[in-house]
Amino acid sequence: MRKISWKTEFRNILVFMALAAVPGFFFDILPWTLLLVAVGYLGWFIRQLWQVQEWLKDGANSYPPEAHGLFGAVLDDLYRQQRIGRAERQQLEADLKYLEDSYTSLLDAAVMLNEDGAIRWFNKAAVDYLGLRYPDDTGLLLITLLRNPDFIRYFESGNYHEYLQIPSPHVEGMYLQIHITCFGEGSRIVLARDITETNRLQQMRKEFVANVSHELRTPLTVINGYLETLSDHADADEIMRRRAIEQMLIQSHRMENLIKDLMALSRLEVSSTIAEHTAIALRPMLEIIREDVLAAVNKKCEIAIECDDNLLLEGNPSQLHSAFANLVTNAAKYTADNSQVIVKWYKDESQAYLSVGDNGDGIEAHHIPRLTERFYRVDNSRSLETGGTGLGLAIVKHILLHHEAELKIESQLGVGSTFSCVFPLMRVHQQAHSA
Amino acid sequence: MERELQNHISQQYDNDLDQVRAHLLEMGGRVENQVRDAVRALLEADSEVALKVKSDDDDVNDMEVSIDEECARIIALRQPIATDLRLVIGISKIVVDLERIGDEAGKIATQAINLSEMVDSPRGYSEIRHIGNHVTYMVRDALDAFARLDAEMALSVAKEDKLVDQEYASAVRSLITFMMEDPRNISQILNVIWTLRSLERVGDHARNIAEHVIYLVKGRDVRHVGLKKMAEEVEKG
Repeated sequence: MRKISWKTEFRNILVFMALAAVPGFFFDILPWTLLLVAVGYLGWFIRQLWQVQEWLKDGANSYPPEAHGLFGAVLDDLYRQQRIGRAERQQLEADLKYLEDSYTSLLDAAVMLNEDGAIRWFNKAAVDYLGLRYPDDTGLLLITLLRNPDFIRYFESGNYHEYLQIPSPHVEGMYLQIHITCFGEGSRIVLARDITETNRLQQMRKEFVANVSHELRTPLTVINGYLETLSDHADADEIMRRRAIEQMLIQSHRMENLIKDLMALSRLEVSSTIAEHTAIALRPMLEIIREDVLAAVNKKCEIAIECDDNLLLEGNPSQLHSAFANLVTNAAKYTADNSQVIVKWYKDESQAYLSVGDNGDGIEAHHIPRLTERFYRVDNSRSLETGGTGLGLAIVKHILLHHEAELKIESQLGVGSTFSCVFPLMRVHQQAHSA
Repeated sequence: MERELQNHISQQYDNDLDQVRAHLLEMGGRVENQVRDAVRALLEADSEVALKVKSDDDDVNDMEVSIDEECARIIALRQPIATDLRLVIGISKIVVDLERIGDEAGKIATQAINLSEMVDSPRGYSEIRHIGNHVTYMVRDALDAFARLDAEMALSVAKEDKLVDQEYASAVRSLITFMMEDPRNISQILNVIWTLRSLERVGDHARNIAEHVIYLVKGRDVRHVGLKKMAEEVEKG
C-alpha cells in the first residue's frame, strides 16, 4: 500500500511537471512554469502538513482530515496505530483498575511506596486503619505519618522477615500486624492487618489460666499454712485448733465454690440450648433470692422487689435462679453499708427486663465491656474481702445467652449501677388470671 | 496548601530539607509514644513502663540537639529564603516544644512511680485517662498537620486546647473537694493534680506546634492572637 502511494505521488509530480513543461517549452519560459508547479506543490504539501498538525494538536481523537496521495497513506497509518494504541491503553487501564480494585477490596491495609519511601497508592483499609487521607497523602513519606518508633526502626532496618505489631495510630485500642514486601527496584508494599481480636483472645486465654491457678492457690496456701502450724504444734490448745479448722473450712469452701462455678460455666458452654422450658412466676424465685442474699451478706442492706405478677418467663428455673442470684448478690456485696437494691421485673412494647439496680460507687465506663470476662476485676484488692470467684457475671452472661437474652450494664460513678437482663418478648407470657 | 516544596537546582538541598523534616517527625513519634506510655504506666500502675519512658527521654534530648544542628547547618550552607526559611525556623521551634512534651511525659512517669506505691483507691484516674487521651490525640494531630502542611488541621488542634483547659479546670475543682473531704487523701491527690497539670502543659505545647505549622504554611505569626483571628488567617489562604 505504501509503495503504491509513493509511486502515485511520483507519477503525479511527473504528470504535473510534464503538463507544465509543454507550454513552458513552447513559450520559452520553461524554468518559470516548472517553478510555478514546484511552488504550487509545496503550497499544497504545506497545507496538508498543517492539517495533519492541527489534527494531532487536538489529540487526534476525531477522524483524520481528508487527505490525498502520500499524506492520505501517512494519515491512515497514523490513525491505525492510534487506534491500536488506544485499545491497548484501555486494556491496560482496565487491568490496572482490576488490580487496584482487588487491592482495595482487601481487608488488610495496603500502602505502595516508591524507592524513597513516599506513598504512591493505598487502599480503603489504609484510610481506616492508618488514618491516611486520599488523595492528599500520596507523595508524602510514609514514616512522617506512621511515626511509631518501632515501625520506623522496622521500616529502616530493611529486614522484613518477621512481622511487627504496633498499635494503630488512628483507632484507639486497635492492634496492627505489619508486614513489608519489596518489589521492583526498591519499591515496597506495606501491609497492615487488624489483629485486635486475636490479640484479645490470646490475652484472655493467658489471663484465664493465670487467674485460675492464682485463685486456687490462694486458699490452698492458707490451708497449707494452718496444717503446717498444726503439725508443728501438736500440743496446740483447743481454741487455736478450732480457729485453724474454721479458717481451713472457709478456704476449702472457697475452692469448692470456684470449682463449682468453673464446672457450671463449662457445662453451660457445652450445652447450647436448654431442654426444659417452663413458664416461671418470678416473685417466689426473687423472694427466695432475697432471703438467701440477706442471710449471706452481714451488713445493713435493703432489697426491694417490684415485680409484675402477670408476667411469666419461660426458661430453665435453676439456671435463671443462679443468674438472678448472682446479680442480686453482686449488688448487695459491692455496695457500702446501707445499700439499697431494687429488683424490677417489667416489660415494654419490645422487650422484658429483669433489672437489678444499686446505689453503690458505680463502675468506670472502660471497665463495663470487660465485666463479663472471667476473673475480670474492677479492683483487684477486693477479691479477698468479698470472696467472690470472679466468675459470676460470666455465668450470668452464658445463662442469658441460652435464653436469647442479653445483659445490659449501665453505671454512673457515685450514683450506682443497673444490671438488666433483657429478654425477648417471645420468652414472656401474660398470665390471664391473677394468682 | 503547597505540598511539594519547590525543587531546587541543588538536589542535595532538597534532600537536606526532607531529611530534617523526617527526623523531626521521627522525634515526634517518639514523643507521642512517651506521652501515651506515661499515661498508661500511671493508670496500670506499671512502674517498668514508667522507667522506660524516663530513659527514653535521653534519646529525645539527643534528637533535639541533632535536629537543631541540622537546621543550623542548612541556614549556614544554603541560606534559605521564603518558604524554606520558614520551614527551617518552624522546625527549630517545633523541636523545642517536642522536647518539652517529652519532659512532661517524664514528669508523668515520675508521678506514675510515686502513685504505684500508694495502693489507695485511685481517685481522679478517670480524668487522667480522659485528658490523657485527649492530649495524645492533639500531639498526633499537630504532627500530622505538620507532615501534611495542613493549616486547617493545625487550627482544629489549637481549638482543642481550649477544651483541655476547661477539662483540666473542672477536674482540679472536683479533686479539691476530695481533699477537703478527707485530708489523708491530699498527698495522693496532689500527685494526680501534678499529672493533670503536666497533661495540660502537653496540650499547650501541642497548640504551640499547631501555631508553628500555621506560620510555616501561611507565613503569618498567629501566636497570642486568639482563636478567632487565627481562624481568619487560616481561611485567608
